[in-house]
Order: sequence, then C-alpha cells, then structure tokens
Amino acid sequence: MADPFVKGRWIIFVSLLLAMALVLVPLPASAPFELNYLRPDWIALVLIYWILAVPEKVGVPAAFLLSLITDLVVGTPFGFHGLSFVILAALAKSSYQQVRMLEIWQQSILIAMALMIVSGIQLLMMTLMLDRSSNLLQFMKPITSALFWPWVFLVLRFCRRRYL
Amino acid sequence: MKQLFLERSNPRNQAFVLCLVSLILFVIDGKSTALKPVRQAAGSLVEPIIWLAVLPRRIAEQGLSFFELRDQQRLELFEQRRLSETLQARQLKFEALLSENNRLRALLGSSAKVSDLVLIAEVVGISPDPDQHYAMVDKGLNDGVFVGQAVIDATGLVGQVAESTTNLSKVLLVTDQSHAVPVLSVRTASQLIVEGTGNRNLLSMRHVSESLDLKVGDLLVTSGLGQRFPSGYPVAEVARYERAPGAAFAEVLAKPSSQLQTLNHVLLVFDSAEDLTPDVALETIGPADG
Repeated sequence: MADPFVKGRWIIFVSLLLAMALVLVPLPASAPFELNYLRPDWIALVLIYWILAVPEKVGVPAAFLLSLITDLVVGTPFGFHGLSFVILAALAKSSYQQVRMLEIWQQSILIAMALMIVSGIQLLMMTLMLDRSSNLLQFMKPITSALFWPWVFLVLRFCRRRYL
Repeated sequence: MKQLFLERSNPRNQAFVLCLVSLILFVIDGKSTALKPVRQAAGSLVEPIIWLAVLPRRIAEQGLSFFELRDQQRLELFEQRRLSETLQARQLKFEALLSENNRLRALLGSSAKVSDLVLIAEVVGISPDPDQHYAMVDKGLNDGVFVGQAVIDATGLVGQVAESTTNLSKVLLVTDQSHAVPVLSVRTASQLIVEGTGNRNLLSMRHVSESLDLKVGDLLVTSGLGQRFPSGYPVAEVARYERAPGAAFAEVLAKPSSQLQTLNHVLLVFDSAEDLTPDVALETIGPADG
C-alpha cells in the first residue's frame, strides 16, 4: 500500500481494529452466556459511520475486504459477513446524502432496520445453507447496536475531525 | 455535461457482484475444506487482533491475583498438595491395572494400549458467536498442535482442534452442532455416536434402536473408533431416555462430562512425541513404560 493511502486513513484502520477487538472480548465467566447475543455489532457500526462520513474513502469493496477479515477473526465461514457488510455498505453509500441530514436518533432507527434485515439474511444463510439452527435472540443484536450508534457516531466524529 | 457525482463507481453494481462472490465463498467454505489452507495462513496473520481482544482480561486477572491474600494462597497450596498426593496414590493402582490389562491383551493377541501424551494449554477466549461452540487456546502450530487433535480436560472430553494458526488454536467443543464423537457405553459396551445440539448442556444420540440397552445414568466414554479420539475418556452421562410407542428410534439426551461452561485449562492429546520440537513440554498419562 502506498504511504499516503495508509497515512490518510490510519484512524479508519485503528477504529476498525478496535471494533474487532471489542467484538471478540469474552464476557466474564459468571455472566450468562446468552448475553453474547446482546453484544452490539461494533464492526458494522464503525463501517457504517465511515461510509456515511467519508464515502469517497470507504466503499463497497472495502466493506467486502473487511468482511473477510471479520470472518477469519470471528470464526464464521468466508462470505458470511460478506453479504451483510456489502449490503450495509451499498445502502450507506447510495443514501449518505440524505442520512447525513437526519438527527442521530433517526439514524439509529434506520440502522436498526438495516441490521434487522441483515440479521434475517444471516439466519437464512445459517439454517438453509449450513443446516445449523440459530437462536432467535440474535435479533436483539440490531437493537442494542442501534442503541450504541449515537456514541459511536460522536466518538468517531471527534476522531475524524481531529485526525483524518 | 459536467460530472455531477463524486466518483464513477456504482455501489449497487459493486454490491451485486460482491454479494454473489460472498455467497459462493460461503458455500465453498461452509460445506467443504477447500479454503482451509487459506484460512490457516490468513489466520496466522490476524492472530494479533485476537490477542488484542483477550489481553485486557488476562492483565486484569493477573493484576487481581497480585492482590490475593497470602493466607488464601497458602490454603490453596495446601489443598493442591493434598489433592496431588491422593491422585498419586490412585495413580499407583491405576498403573498396576493398566499393566495387567496390557498383559491380558498380549495373551489374547491384541496390541497393547499406549499411554497418551498431553500438552497443557490455557483457554484464552470463547466464540463470540453464541451459535458456534469453540474455545481459543494458547497453543498453536509452533507447539505441534494439529487439526483434528483430541482435547480433554480433567473431567472429560472437551472436543477437537478445528483450526490451528501459529500460536493459537480453535477447539471445537463437543456441544457444537457439527461435532460427533464415537462412544462406548461403560456398562454394556454398546457403541454409539454422540452429537452436539447447540445447547451447552446437552448432547444427543441419534438412531438409537429400541433393542439397545441404555439407561439414564450410563456413562459414555470415547471408543477410539475412527482413530480420531483416544479411547477411554468420559464424554457424557445419559440424562434422558424417551421411547415413544411406535417410534423407530429412542430419543436420548446426555449431559457432557466436561465442565464446558468453566473451561480454564485443557489438555491436547498427542500420539507420540516424534515430530515435536524438543522445547514442547509434554506430560504422560498412563503407564510410565508405555
């Protein structure tokens, strides 16, 4: 990668790295295991923010590459997060002008809906194509993710203004 | 006409193509092992991310242990010594029985049972995806770990190594939906296969015919068939046996022997120390002379 490419984007890489680490952090053994279903999808949230904020720097191919790394790190087959992130990226990329105008809480609702659709697709992929049963609790993830969106937005906006 | 848009790429077209690529990759990686070498190589590269995620907790745990009262540590040490002496005494009898077993097998013309070599590993993380049951352990290819290796702990079979990178390995637990173990009932020596259900406390056995003698409380140990798991390790205890009248098979559920909820340290089982580097510290379980 040429230096200016990384130099201009290091904060994006760092934020994505931190998001991945957050997704992997194990819960304490005393917590009920089902709490994992409530973990927000940090990677998706950070990805959506960067596409909305700087769509000329982050687009659909970047989302696809990110999904491959996510699949490796989380342990799902390649392509599982590919479908999700590519759809989210396409939605964000084609509507960023309007979404930017909305209030943060309105963006939260949109994100919740988009993540719900993506969760449904993930459920279909797992059950139809791999014959694995999946817990319906996973539909809580979009809601908790959307609840954390305002914080992700504010933190990353601060970082963008300062470091990008 | 002046260009109205920032860039010429069309996100919808890109998305369509990449969605197709994703689906194809998903089917290939989900159903076959064609991409496993790629996963392994790339997995070694992204290991640092996983270490980054588990590091805070390890630091916190070690930090907390720094504050432990000395009296408490003394008590623990005393308990451990007591336990160790009890186990050593039991081991003496066990070794005698194993040697006798081998002599009897030799009389029958069967091959002797060899002792297993184990490597202790610490569980550093568990699957963030609750639908997949696996644990990450801190031993990898550098320590001689191989894919398919059996993993046990002090109370029973834990699972097998599904993926291994340089310093980390992913251990698929017996309760994962895609996992199956050939077992032997201790009481009746009947052979069965125990599968994971996706539920952390339950294993199931399919196609158990009515004529098979199986009762609640029966202990199931690995049978060694299929050469994947060494024989003799407890896998599960039958918890429920239901036979609906007219049904072709009985519905049997079992509770795993291993404490999968609170995994801390596990043992990776090796057949021999041949291809391992000398600095890998293995312990022997079984007769000392092999």
